[in-house]
Amino acid sequence: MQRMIVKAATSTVEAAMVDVNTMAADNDAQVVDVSELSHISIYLNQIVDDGNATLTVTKSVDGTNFAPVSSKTQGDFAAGANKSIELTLSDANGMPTHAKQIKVVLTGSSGNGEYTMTVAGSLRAGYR
Amino acid sequence: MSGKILTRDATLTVNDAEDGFLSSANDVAIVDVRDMHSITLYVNHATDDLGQPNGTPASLDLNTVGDTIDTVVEATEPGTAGENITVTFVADSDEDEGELAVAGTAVTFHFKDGVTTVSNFEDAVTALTGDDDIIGVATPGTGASTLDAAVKAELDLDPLAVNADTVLEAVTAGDDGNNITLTFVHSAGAPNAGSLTRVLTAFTFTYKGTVTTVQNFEDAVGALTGDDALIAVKTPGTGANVLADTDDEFGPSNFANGDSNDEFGPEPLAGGTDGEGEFDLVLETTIDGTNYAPLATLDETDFEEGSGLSVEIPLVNEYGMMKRVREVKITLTAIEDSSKFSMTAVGVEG
Repeated sequence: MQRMIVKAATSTVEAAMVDVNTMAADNDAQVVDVSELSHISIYLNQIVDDGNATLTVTKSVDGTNFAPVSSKTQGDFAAGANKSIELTLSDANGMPTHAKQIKVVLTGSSGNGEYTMTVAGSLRAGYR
Repeated sequence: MSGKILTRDATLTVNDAEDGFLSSANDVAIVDVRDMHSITLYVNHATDDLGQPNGTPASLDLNTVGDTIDTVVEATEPGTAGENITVTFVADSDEDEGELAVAGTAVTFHFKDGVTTVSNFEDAVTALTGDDDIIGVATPGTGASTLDAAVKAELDLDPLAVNADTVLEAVTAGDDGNNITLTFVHSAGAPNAGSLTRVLTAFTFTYKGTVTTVQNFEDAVGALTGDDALIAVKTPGTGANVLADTDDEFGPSNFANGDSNDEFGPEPLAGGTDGEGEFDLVLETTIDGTNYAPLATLDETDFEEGSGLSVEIPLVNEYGMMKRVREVKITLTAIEDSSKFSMTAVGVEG
């Protein structure tokens, strides 16, 4: 097993431009490349707890077509700032599943809540 | 699987009591595990403070052992340990308000017969401090009632025999003396001075009619020693009277009018139960050192009873896939007792 890697997702859509590094408005999205990772954990981070929001997480193996992973709302987070929800990529037998990209899109926003996504995993064999 | 096993203790970042353990509400410890995989966390109940504080204190309704006294006392601390406490009442004090003495787990109240009141006792209990403060008043009694010394059981031989007229008493005051019996029986083969024997609480005086005297009997009572010394002569009779063959036979006749009143003990407290104090431990993980996701919540029901016992938490998802994280944080969010906790991570280097 190789070393642990942590990667922050990058904003690809920033409708409100509250903070270029966070999602704050409907349709704001972040993507992170996880090609080199195994045993992937996805952390959805509530940076500012205010109002409602829905975060929809999908994954892609080709960068074009995306399959659903999970959907979380503001109510799924513990109250307060810097609270995370952890999602993991595995099958029902505990075998790690892999992807090229993870994407998260924010919808249904109200208030001034801000969110980010970070992933962690083990570096796969063949990567340095 | 390659790589060596790493074991790492979580480092306290908040330790209110500065005792090296998670022991106060909001104490926090963090362990960095970014260089490990296949991680298992051990949450260690280093010290299990048994008996605190949700148990039941041992108690004693003094009215069940005393006469006037009707206070209910209970151990200051809950738990079965309180059942080691005993209470004794003795009427040997010259002080009107009595005196309360505590020696280890033995509580003794010395009172003045007919003067000291229930309130005096309760005030003395309430005034206990420090190491002596092992009992309290659970339910006050009738404060104005005065405490009475025990009375010795007696037996007047005059109504029982023609020639014997001694008045006997139990050596020890209390209602146990009412169990003592005395039998007078004539035997031609008895010694001239008669013979006094005892089986448990039953005394038998065997005498030779027309020879043995009342004085002989009283001398025999006075000669009792050791376990036999349960009775004594309270009022001597007519010593020169000679006992008759049959007119002085009687019994077995019980001593009577013995009363323990408010002298008793040592009487143990009873009914204490141990109870584990409640606590809550919250475990969270982070991959960036800033944002934390919930991992697990533990409370007193998750641990076996006893010190040095751990709860094991493998760092896997719901299907068993091992997870990688940067740090695991544990927070003691609430605690009622004096338990102490620590956390250790073990994993494979890599």
